[in-house]
Amino acid sequence: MTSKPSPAPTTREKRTPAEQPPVAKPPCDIHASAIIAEKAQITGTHPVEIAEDVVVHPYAKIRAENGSVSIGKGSMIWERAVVGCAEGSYACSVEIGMDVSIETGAIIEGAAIGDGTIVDVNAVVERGAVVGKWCRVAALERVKAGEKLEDFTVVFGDGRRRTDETIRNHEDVREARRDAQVKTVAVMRGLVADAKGKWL
Amino acid sequence: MSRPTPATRRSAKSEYIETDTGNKISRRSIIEGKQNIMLGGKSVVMAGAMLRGDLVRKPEKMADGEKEGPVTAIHVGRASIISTNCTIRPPHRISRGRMVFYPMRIGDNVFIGPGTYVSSAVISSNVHIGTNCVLSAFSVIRDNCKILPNTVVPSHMTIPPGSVVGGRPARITGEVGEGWGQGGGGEGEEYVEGGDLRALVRSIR
Repeated sequence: MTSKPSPAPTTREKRTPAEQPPVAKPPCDIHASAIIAEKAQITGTHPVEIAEDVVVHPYAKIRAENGSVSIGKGSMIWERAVVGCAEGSYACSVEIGMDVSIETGAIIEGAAIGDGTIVDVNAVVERGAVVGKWCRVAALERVKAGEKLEDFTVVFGDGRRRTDETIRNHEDVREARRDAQVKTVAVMRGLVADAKGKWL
Repeated sequence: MSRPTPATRRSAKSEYIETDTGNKISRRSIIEGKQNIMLGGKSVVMAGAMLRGDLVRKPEKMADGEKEGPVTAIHVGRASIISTNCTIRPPHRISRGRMVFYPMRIGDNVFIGPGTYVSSAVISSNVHIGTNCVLSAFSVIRDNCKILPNTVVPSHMTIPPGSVVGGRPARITGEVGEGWGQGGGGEGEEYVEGGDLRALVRSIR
């Protein structure tokens, strides 16, 4: 190293980094009724928009390094899920609809996730993929890059597809699902401590 | 430069914290709501394992003067092992018009493989669960089962005792047969899947 290193930090300065806000704090627009857990991470430089009644669980990651991220009303991002993409140089914006569940460990790099869709545990939606409304990507499944899923599609059993006729033909089933999501958000208010102030 | 890295600082301490009852909990495990988690003794929680004890059923409004009893979200028996990067989250569903989290019970000598997600209602004893499995909400795993790696057990599925289960979605592919879990467990012996895991627990440090 040719340049002279900066003077050694004092012990007091050494302690501060943990309390300081993260280095790359993106411009966040978080609705007052959203719950962002203390240990959730939001990184990147692109805008992040979080609508009302969204719950982001601890250790979930929202990554806006390569494009904006928007999450619709009543959606839930469970622990260890990753929304957005950090690696690579391609542009990648993610738009998540209303009442969407992104389960534990799921990775969402896709362009859009429709209303009411469930992306199950450890499933992957690759970049540029568009998932329609009321779809279900079952656990450990993968939606390939650039793929488009029609509304009501179920991806299951190692890449098989089918249409969920029950949910397509019955408005009351969809209504029940929406109702369950609202109730889940309601119960989370009492269980997950909110720390959205950190990101505003 | 000369600043000590966190890795060297950590290596001075041991990886696991041992409790009075012999439970070994990794310093790198992620435990939320630890007051709601019960470990039976001699159980292991490895690095990166995540336990969501904060997701419990909140007791309904009680009469004045009554104190809130302790609520358990996750109950783990004796000599069970929760491997690296597992996620243990209690299941939830609607009951009497409100969303409720249900307590989850894991028995004795249960091995949960790395990267597995568990949201079962009950896992009985002597169960071996492979790597990267998904046990969905309210699944019930009875005694002496073996769950093959990368299995997705759908929600509300009950797996009868002594089954071998695999596939996406899970199917019962066979029975564990005679002698499952027999032998092993003794001093200096290899551990056996579904058998006594105390020797394995002892070797983890």
